[in-house]
Amino acid sequence: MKKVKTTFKVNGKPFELELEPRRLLVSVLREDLGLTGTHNACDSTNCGACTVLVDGKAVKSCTMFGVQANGKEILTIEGLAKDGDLHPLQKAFIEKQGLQCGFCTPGMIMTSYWMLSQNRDFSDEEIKRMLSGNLCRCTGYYGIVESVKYAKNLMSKKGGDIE
Amino acid sequence: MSESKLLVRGAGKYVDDIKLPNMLYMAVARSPHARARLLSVKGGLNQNDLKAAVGGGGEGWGGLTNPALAHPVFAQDTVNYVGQPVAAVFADDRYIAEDKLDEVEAEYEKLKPIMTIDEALLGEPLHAGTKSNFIMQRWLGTEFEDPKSPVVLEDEFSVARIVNNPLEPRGLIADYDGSKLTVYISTQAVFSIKDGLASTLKLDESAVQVIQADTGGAFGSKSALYPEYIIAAYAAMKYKRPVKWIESRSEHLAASQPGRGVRGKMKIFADKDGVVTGWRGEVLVDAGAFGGSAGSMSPFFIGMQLTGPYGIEKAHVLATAVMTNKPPQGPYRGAGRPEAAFFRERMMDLLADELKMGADEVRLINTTTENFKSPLGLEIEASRPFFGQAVLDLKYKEKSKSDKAGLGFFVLLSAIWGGESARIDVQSGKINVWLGGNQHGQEHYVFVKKLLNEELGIPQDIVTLNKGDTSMLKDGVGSWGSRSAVVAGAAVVAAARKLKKQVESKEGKYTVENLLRGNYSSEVYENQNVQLNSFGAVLATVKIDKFGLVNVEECAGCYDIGRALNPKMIESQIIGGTMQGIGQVLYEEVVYDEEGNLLTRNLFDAGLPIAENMPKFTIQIVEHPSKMPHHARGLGEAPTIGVPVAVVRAIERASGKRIRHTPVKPQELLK
Amino acid sequence: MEMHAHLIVFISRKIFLFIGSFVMFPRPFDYFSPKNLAEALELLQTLGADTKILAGGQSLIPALKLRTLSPKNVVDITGIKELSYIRKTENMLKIGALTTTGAIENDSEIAALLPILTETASEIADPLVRNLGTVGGDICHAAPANDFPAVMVALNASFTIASKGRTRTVQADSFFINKFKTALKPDEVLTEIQIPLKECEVGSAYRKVKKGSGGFAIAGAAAQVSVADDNAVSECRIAMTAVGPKPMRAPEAEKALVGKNPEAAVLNSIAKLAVEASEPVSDVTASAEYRRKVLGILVKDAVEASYKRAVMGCYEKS
Repeated sequence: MKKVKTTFKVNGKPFELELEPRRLLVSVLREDLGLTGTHNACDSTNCGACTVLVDGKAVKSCTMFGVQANGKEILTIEGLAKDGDLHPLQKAFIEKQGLQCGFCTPGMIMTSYWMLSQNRDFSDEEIKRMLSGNLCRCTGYYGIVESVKYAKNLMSKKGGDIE
Repeated sequence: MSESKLLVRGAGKYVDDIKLPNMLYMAVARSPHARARLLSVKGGLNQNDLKAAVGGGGEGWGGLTNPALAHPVFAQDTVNYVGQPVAAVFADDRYIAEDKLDEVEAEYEKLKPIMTIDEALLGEPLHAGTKSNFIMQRWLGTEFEDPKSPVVLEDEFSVARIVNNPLEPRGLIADYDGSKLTVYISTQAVFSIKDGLASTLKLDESAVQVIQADTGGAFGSKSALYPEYIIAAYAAMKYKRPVKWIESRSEHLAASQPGRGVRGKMKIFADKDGVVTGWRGEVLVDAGAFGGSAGSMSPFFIGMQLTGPYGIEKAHVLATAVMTNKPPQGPYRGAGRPEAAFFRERMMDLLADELKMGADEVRLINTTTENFKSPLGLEIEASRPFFGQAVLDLKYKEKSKSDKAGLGFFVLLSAIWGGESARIDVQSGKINVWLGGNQHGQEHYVFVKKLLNEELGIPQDIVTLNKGDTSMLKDGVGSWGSRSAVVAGAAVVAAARKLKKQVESKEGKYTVENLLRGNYSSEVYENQNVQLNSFGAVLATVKIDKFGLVNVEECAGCYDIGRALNPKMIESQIIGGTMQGIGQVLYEEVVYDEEGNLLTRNLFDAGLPIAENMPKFTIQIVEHPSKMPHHARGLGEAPTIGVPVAVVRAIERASGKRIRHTPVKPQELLK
Repeated sequence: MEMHAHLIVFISRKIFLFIGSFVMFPRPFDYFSPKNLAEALELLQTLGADTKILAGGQSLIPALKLRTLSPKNVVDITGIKELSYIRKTENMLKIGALTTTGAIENDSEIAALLPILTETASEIADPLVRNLGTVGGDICHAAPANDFPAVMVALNASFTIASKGRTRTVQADSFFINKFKTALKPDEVLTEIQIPLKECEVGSAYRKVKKGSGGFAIAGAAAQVSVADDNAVSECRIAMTAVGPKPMRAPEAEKALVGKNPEAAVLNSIAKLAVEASEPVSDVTASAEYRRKVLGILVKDAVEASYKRAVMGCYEKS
């Protein structure tokens, strides 16, 4: 199996890797780049713990090959904090009890980030629907929905939309 | 465990995030059959390399009386559940390790598997050297003559097996340097793992160190020893390279140790005013293929709790565990408590309907005005005050009329036996704490900091609760069974008071400055031999649509937690547990066909609830202080005990159909 | 993503049966990413039969991860941007096969013209899967529980299929042959979906019942109803999801509606006829009996909603 040269950006940094095509994007992020914040928790594209943004859209990195990242920009959980400052979503998840064990949390935050990047209002029902691809076993989701709403609030106060 | 501020950055260090130099990845070849003779196996490590049985320890350990029932590490000549480990292969990379599974060749001769409790009771013994499929059978309570009560009701119930499914799969890294085995593991109890590994691999306890990695949930699945842990440790010792094993989700669904899987037959006697005068019961647990697991003690544990918060003076219960061709039963959040509550409260609702009494009235009349010890062994404080108030706070009468609400009363029996250990070190003005039991999402560091602040006046920001590590304490128990706030909290208080005495003895007087200027270490092990129980009540309302699909509209609960050490976490735990309770009633089960093929093989089949399944939550925290020095009571499992009861009753009232089992399928509710 | 006709091979001697595997990473394969359609078609010719096309990957990659499929070659066509579009002509809606489900879900023109597509897309899997999954992939994978196949049949859609040096068009009715099997040949690619558009007097709808997370259909009913001047039904097409090896038509039910208004008694009888035309099986998600029961309700709902849209003003169908 021939390796394939793949050029892409992750959290703003450029990478050029020779990748075995069968390696999933989640494995490339975790093993090749050491970005272990993105998690691999199921084998049937259900749980969303692997969610990252590819060219601005939230996707399940366990159901994409690393070689498909060629020419694309990827944002992972590690890319959210700026200069040591937590992103409003990260602050919100702490403040509003959006996590317990933390394993689903990066995926939840990345899907929420994508949601908020659409710069429109969401009802509670819409937030829950947008999270239908992200499973949590600890919190029962309530704190997560509250965290998303709180983050939107924080961000509109700052006047900052997501770039 | 890393605190939330690290976890939100993705900076947690779960087992799969840890990389050791020269590490091997392990993949496990597993039986595709529920029952078969294993005629031969070639490739990888297998029964020809290691003949050993899984040893004991932890919440998942029920004690093994008959060695013929031991769970072998590698299948020895027979396989007895789909997914049972048969061989293990190793490679530098996880993808290649899976490729190497193709090199394992196993020949099977299929046998007719035993897949239900009835087949186990009637069929031939699964294991050579045994006469039946009974693991245990014993009576609780005392025989009694039928009371002369006019109401006699009988019914039978079942709660299907459920897989725990924490978001993080099981996993560990075993590393052997020639004399010491170091294990990094996703776990609730480093000491259980250490004891189990040492005894199974015949290592001196001082030669084994177990360190907890950040643990992404457990719900009971990560306290016991599993064959894969032993295989990884054995391989690390054999190959002299660190060995990492991380399971796939389908492995978790097949070969971890699911909970529930219990049948109950109840017969009650009652007077016309609703007072229950006698309780007879049979509890039958589907314990899976081997002894030693939770299944070996859960029937007794369930039987003991059948009287719940009621003062029922005559009770006699037969508790039985039988073997089937499934993985051994393990603890799943509640671990028998939900089953006991389900069997009992279904009967109370039947009694209410029979006597045309309110579900609250028939329950309240059976609550107690004084401490009560049930003939089955359960000890409760006076229950009427709590439940009388709960019915009012939940607005049961109003919601019963307007929304056909379901109601449930329960007792949470915290698993505090065994107690817990805590160690506090003071050095260079910093406080480091270790606990014997290991948090996996419950933010124990919050109550640790709070209690130290209260006992010693220490500012919270100089305190660190370190990850579980068997080298830092002499011994420890574990984090399960709604115990940690109670027993770990008590141990922290005891260790703090011991520290205070040390400072007084050195400096003449205790002040925070005196403490922080010195070097101190205080370690205690606080055993607990009493029962510490707490009460809870849940109300639920549902709507059923034309497809038979149930939407839980509201779930309200009153929970007595003694003292709320971490109110935000308490709420989050209750909500999380409520969703698990809803999952049990509506979506989750393990399904095999008659030939023993496992049909629920992925998370979609497993039926975990999603955000859209949330009801409206109402949570009332009650604080009746316990006798513990810090007044806490348990909490963790409370919602999984109470919620299924209330939701099932709400479904029953909404559909007009008597419900006797979980999960309830839409098909049963179609008009 | 398209999958060519194949049979799941039952591997009896080895330890892993297709139903028995516990793995989660794919086997090795050779990877090709053509930059345009001509390159892709050339590759499909030369690479031979043990080749799978990768589009959204939301059906193919899970199968590769479980090792139920292990093709020698994977041809990634997602680089062919010109296959992703939504275009309206005078009487046709044309959708490029690589258009994502999410793009269809969020397209305001489609919401106005053919809300059946919006409601279908928005209930497939979850938003993350919809960001990658394509309408062409859903159609060509042809799993019995996939939603677009029955919807395309109900809409009387046609599909453009390209291979090196040739293009042909196949009606949706003839495209679906069996579960996971379509009329595509090993060297062919679905490029475009055409759906006839009529301004007035026709309406369509899709209704399904699904189970929780993942959202696979337990049963689904797609309907298209045309009305005459007096609002009596002039034509009806019904196609059903997850109740047979492919989208199931209900010809007797369709006939029974012609010339009538869909009042309760009429709807009840066509539901009965539609269920009789279905062949559901029992599996771990639902029993055949449950599927039949809910199918009857879904057919009524879909037909009734389609009729309402047909008698509404032109292009005010939401």
